[in-house]
Amino acid sequence: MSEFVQYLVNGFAQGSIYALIALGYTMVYGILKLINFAHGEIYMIGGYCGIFLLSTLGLPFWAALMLAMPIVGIFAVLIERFAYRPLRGAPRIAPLITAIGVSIVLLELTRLVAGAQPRPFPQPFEDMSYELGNWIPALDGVIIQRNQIMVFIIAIVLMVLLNAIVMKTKIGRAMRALSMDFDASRLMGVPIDRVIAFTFFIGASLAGAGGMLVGMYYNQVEPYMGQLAGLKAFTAAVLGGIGVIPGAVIGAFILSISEALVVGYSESSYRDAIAFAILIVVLMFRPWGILGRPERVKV
Amino acid sequence: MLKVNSIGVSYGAVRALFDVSLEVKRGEIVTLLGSNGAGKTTTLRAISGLVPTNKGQIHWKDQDLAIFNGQAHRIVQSGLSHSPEGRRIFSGLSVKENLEMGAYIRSRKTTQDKLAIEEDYEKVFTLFPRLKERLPQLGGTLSGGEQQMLAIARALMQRPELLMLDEPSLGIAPLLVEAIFKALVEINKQGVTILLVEQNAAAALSIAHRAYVLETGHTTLTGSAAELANNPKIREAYLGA
Repeated sequence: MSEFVQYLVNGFAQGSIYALIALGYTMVYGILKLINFAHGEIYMIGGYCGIFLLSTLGLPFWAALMLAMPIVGIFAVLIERFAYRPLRGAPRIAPLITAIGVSIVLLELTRLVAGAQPRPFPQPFEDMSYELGNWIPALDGVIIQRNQIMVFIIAIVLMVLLNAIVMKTKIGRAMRALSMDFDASRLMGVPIDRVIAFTFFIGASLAGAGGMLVGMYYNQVEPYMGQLAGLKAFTAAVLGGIGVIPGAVIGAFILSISEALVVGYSESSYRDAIAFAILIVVLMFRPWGILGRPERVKV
Repeated sequence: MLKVNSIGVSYGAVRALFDVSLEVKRGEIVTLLGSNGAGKTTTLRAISGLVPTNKGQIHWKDQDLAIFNGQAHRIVQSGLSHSPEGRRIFSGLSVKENLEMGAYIRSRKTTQDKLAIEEDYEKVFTLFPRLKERLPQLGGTLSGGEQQMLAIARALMQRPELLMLDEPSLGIAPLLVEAIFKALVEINKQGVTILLVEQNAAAALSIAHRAYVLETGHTTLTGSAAELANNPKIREAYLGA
């Protein structure tokens, strides 16, 4: 029992980070039908941005987080403007290959500038952990780190904010309309380029926050961290139903909890295998994911 | 008000429009008739900036629409609304949200602006009372006729000067077609100019002031609705008489 709960705790912390990345994948896919393979690198840059703001500028954690998010967001808007927008209307394979190219460029640039070695991430909060056994005897031995709680809470707050933007604001409504029908949205007077840029901004801000949180959680960042995390988050988005915003969150938690259970009960080297096994099974039996709907061919 | 001067449109190597000219004057209902594939829908799409033209000009309120450079959202903002073929309502948005998308371009700066929007909601609910009953429902769950009402109501929320409608009777129960055409006359009386594309020529000619006939990408015939309704060629080709 205690063991199982401990794995759940670990799974929820990691899942919060996957979810923050997966949201950007799914939002961009929902509108442009583009799998933005550079998204994992955006997350990685969020981590480096965090180091710069915390160590070099010496900002407090909250200020750094609030600054890193828009910085990374603007960065993604520029990428969209110069790499993807010129290909609007081109066959879907063209922006996809471009995204892979952008991903490589960002990765190698970071490696050149910051070095290939992992960089330590300054710890904004004093290390602290809580033993659940002190309050609930049945959970004797379960430990929650303070960082895990912070990661989870920050992620949830950001997701609630995202939900408010998407469901309650004018631009959020335009984003949803755009994901359903491009031409009809244009006829409603929606400036589509601006809404797409905003979507990239929001998605990248969330990934950037994820990068900072993961730096805080694992005490380091490195140039390659976006590769695997990006693939995992993409898997989570597909699992939940790509293009469906709540699906990304559900997919992320299912994925991370499966990983944590596999690591706990079998071997940690199977951790990545389980993620991609899930991806393969989903693609075979339910390619539209948990909350998605099969794509119908429009007449 | 709207003057289309000899425009052409191609989709890749396929030419859809060769030479289309038409004019709509303020306050009119003008209908564009033609068989399938004649280019009626493409004509509307060209006017609202969804497809680029490769020849000719479109003048709208003494402005050449070319200045908008195909930015459809700016054309809408200038008072030209387009309710597209197949209704194209947002199936995953509620009826209320669909109408709010219609009001997307409306300014909300002053209380007057907000009142004007509220007023327009009331107007479309008077026109289509069914929509008011269905406000929280998802657009995709409405019947075909209700979706068409929503599509027209959504366009009216833009407070257009000219409303272009593409096949509002397509796939809709006859009773509702009648209701929709009555609503169009009412909308026109309230001061909205209408350019109507219809395959139901009899219904269209019964409410229109003037009409154009489009054949394989050319405008071939024009006249008052009464003239065309009595033209033997039109009667044979489009009215089944």
